Parts: sequence; C-alpha cells; structure tokens
Amino acid sequence: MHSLYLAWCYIHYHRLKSGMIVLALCILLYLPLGLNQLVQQAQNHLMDRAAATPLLLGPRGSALDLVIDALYFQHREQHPIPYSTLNTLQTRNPGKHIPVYSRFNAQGHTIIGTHLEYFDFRKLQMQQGHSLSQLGECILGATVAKDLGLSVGETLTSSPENVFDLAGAYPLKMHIAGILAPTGTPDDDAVFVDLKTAWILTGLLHGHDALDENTDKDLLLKQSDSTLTANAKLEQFMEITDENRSGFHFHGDQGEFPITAVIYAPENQKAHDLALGHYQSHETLQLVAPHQIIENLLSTLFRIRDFISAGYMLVALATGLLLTLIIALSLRLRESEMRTMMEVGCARNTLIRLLTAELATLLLASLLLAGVLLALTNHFAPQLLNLLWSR
Amino acid sequence: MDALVNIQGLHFTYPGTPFKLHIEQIQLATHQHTACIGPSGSGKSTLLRLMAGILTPQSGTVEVLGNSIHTMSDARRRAFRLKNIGMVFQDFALIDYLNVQDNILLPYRISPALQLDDTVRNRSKDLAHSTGLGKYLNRFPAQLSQGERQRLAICRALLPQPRLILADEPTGNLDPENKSTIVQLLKGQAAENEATLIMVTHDHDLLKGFDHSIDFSKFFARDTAYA
Repeated sequence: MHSLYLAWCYIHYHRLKSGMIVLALCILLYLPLGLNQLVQQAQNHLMDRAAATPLLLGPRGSALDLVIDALYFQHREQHPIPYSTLNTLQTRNPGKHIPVYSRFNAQGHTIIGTHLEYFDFRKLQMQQGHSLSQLGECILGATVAKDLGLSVGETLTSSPENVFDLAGAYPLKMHIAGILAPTGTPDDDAVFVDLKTAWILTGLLHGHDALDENTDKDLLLKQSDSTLTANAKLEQFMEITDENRSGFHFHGDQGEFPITAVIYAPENQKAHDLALGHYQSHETLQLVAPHQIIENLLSTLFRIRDFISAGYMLVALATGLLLTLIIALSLRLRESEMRTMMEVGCARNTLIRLLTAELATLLLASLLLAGVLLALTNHFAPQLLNLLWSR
Repeated sequence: MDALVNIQGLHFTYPGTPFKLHIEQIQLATHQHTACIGPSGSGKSTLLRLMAGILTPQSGTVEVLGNSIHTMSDARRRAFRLKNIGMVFQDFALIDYLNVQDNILLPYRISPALQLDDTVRNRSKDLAHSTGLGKYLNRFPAQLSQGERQRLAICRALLPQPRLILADEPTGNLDPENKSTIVQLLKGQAAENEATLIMVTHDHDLLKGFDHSIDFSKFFARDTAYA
C-alpha cells in the first residue's frame, strides 16, 4: 500500500508528464480496438440491411452500384429499368415485389419512390403523422426531419436537376404526411414518396391548366380538329392540391416509366432459385443477392484493413519503443532520487516495487481511459456511422 | 565506559581512488555529544556512513549498540539502522515529490521494520511543530528555505526515536543564525530522546557545546583512538 501511495505522490506531483504518458498509452490501446469496433459495427450495419433484402432486380452492369443505390440510397449513375419489369417479375415469380426509384433528391436527401409495402417490408414505424395516402405527399426519415427542422403538415420542395433546363424536371412542393421513427439505417436519411409522385418529378406524370380553344396559341405545339398538343412553355403545376389533383395525368405506356430496381422477397426457396436462374443470362437485367455483393465488398475492404493493421502494429511498436526510451531516460534522470531513497533506507526490492507501482498506475489509468473511450465508441457508433453514411 | 559505538582496526578505501581511512580504535559513550572536525576529504562523512552501515569497511569492526552491523545481512542492517540510527545528510536527502509530512514519514513507508500508525503520525506532527514546520506540512521541499529543509531532514532522522543521531555537516549551507538554531535543535532533540549525537562540522565555533571532538587532521597524522 505504501508503494502505491508513494507512486501516487510521484504521479500527482508530475501530473503533466504523467498525463501525457497516460494519453499516449491510451491512444496506443484505444486506436486499434476502437477502430476494430467501429469497423465491426459498420460491417454489421451493412450486412444487416443486405441480409434483410433477399434479392434485388436492376439493370445489368455493376452489381455493387445497384445495391449501393437501391439499398443504401447513395445515388449511382445507371440506366433505369422499365416499370413493366415489376409486372413481369410479379407474374413469373411469387413473393413480395417492391419497386424503388431513387433519381431525385430534396436538399441533398434522396427521394425514394416506392409502394406502401416498402414500409412493412423494412418494418418502419411512423413517429408522427400517417402513411402516404395521396399524390404529392411525402414521408421523411428521422434524420431528414431533424436536419431540415420539418414536421408533419409542412412542405418540402424537391431540388431541380438543372435550373436552366426549361423542358426538364420541375421542382415539386411535397406535403409532409408523416415522419418515420429512427432506425439507424439509410431509411433515416431518405424522403419517401409514392412511385407516382416520383414520376411527377420526372415530368412523365403531370398536371397543367386545361387546353381548349381559348388557350394561347404560343403554348400549343400542334392543333388538329380533335386534339391540342401543348409545347414546353405550358406551365405545369408545381404543387398538388385538392383542386388540381384530379387533373394529373400521363401520356404513353406506364409500363415504360422508369424505376431503379425491384426488391424481391421470394415466397420460397424454389421461387428464389427459379428467379435467379431466369435472370442469370438476361441481356438487360440482373438479379443479385445483396448479402453476397456486400460480403465481397467487405472481404476486399478487410484485406485493406489488414494492411492498415500491419502498419498500425509497426507504429505501435515504434511508439512502444519510444515510451520505453522515455521511461529509461526518466529513470536515469531519477538516479539521484533513487540513491537518496537507498541512503534513507529503501531496499532495492522496495525501490523496484515503487517504480513498478508507478508504471502499473499509469498503465491502469490508460486502460481505464481507453475502456471509457471504447464504451463511448460502442454507445455512439450507430450515430457516428449514420453521420459517415450521410456524407 | 558504556560504549555506544566501538570501532576497532577499521580500514576503508573507495575503489579506484587514493582515499584511505584507517582507524585503530574509537569508542563513543552513550548520551554524549561528539563533534567530528577536520579538513575536507579527511574522512569525516565516510566515518559517519560506516557507522550508519551505508558503507562497509574492507576490514575491522564497527559495533553500534553492541551489534556488529557489517556482519548483518543487508535487510537486517537496513532495519537496524532505521530503528536505531537517525542520519541527517549534508544535502538533506529530501524527496522532491513528497510534501513535508510525507518526507518526515518516509522511513516508515519504505521499510517493513517500522510500523506506521496514528501514534507515529501524531509524533511526526509534533516534531514538525516543535521545529517550526507545523504550518508547512503540505509544502514540498522546493517551497522551503535552506534552513527549513535542514529542519525537515532532522525531523525525518528523529522520528523513529533513534539511540544514535549522525549529522553530516547539518549547518554547512546555513547562515550563522540558522546554524546555531539547528545545532540547538539537534542537541535538544537528542537530549529529549536520550540519544547520542555525532556531528560532522567545519565550524570550530560550534564545538563549544559538545562533550568531545574528533580532530580528523590529527587523526590522519597518526592512527589513534579517541574518546
């Protein structure tokens, strides 16, 4: 006990020097463990969502881009697939079929056009408001609502793709019908709309003043006896209201309208295998198992992490040697103090015990501090990862 | 005569130096105060360290309280010294990271031979108060004057109530007023504890109050027994 007390006296007297050693040791201990914990949680975070999505149908090309776009809502440039793909899949392969369309965004948050089944499929709970019931409504993820300071009843306007393209997609003022409870997944960072509302953003589904014989000729592209065709100068509605809702319409075949992907949860293993077989050699489409794609990605990343770990070990070794040198130099500086101790009557063993107690106290303090940091990392990892994903 | 210290046929050299100390016989009586005087390098401090068991002679015997301390094991010699011999070092030998209270209690914290309890703690405070350090118990050596540090070193030496007090030039770094105070303090504490005081000094003015003196210059001229 006296050794510990004397050790504490030394550490307390030299608190700045001791604090620096504790901090250095703490960083040395915390960094690999903390990073490993974060990587582990990131891995779980990625894998959980991928594992909860049995199959994903999208355009042929990069399977990773497809998964990143449709599951994690990180927009990747890829060709859309026609909506008729969903109908084909529904006809041939029993199970749940949920479309995802992720081309647009509102103030940096991806707008996801989908069907109501998506919310059940992802087990998303409403924190405020109600689910989508009308054209032009949206549901905000928890992070979006918090970041933009929006609540139910307010509006959110989509961001135009190109402000100089008069014939392009116009921004749409969407009414916020509900806000989702936080989930710690990319859903927190998304704005959900009905697929048809998403198509309004593309301009394929639109509303405008009625065309008749009184319409300004400058707004007409062509005119025949029975039909009037407007040109791009005709102003489209930028907000869907009770008054204009019934006037929204589309031209052409809805089956050709774009979607990004279809989440497919097969009814059984047979449906799963048949679907994979069917799309194996499809010319324009691919059906992928997201957990395999993410596993491949992670195995690549882990190989990189192994290199980083090896590098870290070298740095740790160098730091350890440096600390040993500092301690050795410190002991040399304390030679006269040790001689004094021995003159006063301190045995060599007691002196060694005293120095060991000092080192052990510093090491224990470093371990405790590293432990606290690890606990904090563990506690705040989901928030930290969400922050990273949203960048 | 009741000899507290008995030195016979002592030979000591520091390896690799020309220094040689040879003493045929010295006997120092109990309860008497002895001053060691002589030029620098004549062996005064070395003799004190030999009596304290810090140094070991090449030959001869050094008996303190009837015990030949150089034949003891290291641990036993250390315990014997801490219990029976109070050493006041020339350079104070204070630990800079311990406050006044902990410096006084240091022998009790580094040796299992001395048991630290409330009685000892109270005695350390009494000692500090009696030497004028009572209000500085939480100060560190660097915050004390030279005289205060010397008094602190004396308090530490006296706390185990030793039978023999060895003071190695305790007034060497002090002004005349402090010198006198320190010598009076040492004598007073030695009398109070019925201890024997042996003090090394260069200052002939301080010899007056001592029962005996050992002149190391004469001592070197011819090996002799004294006292």
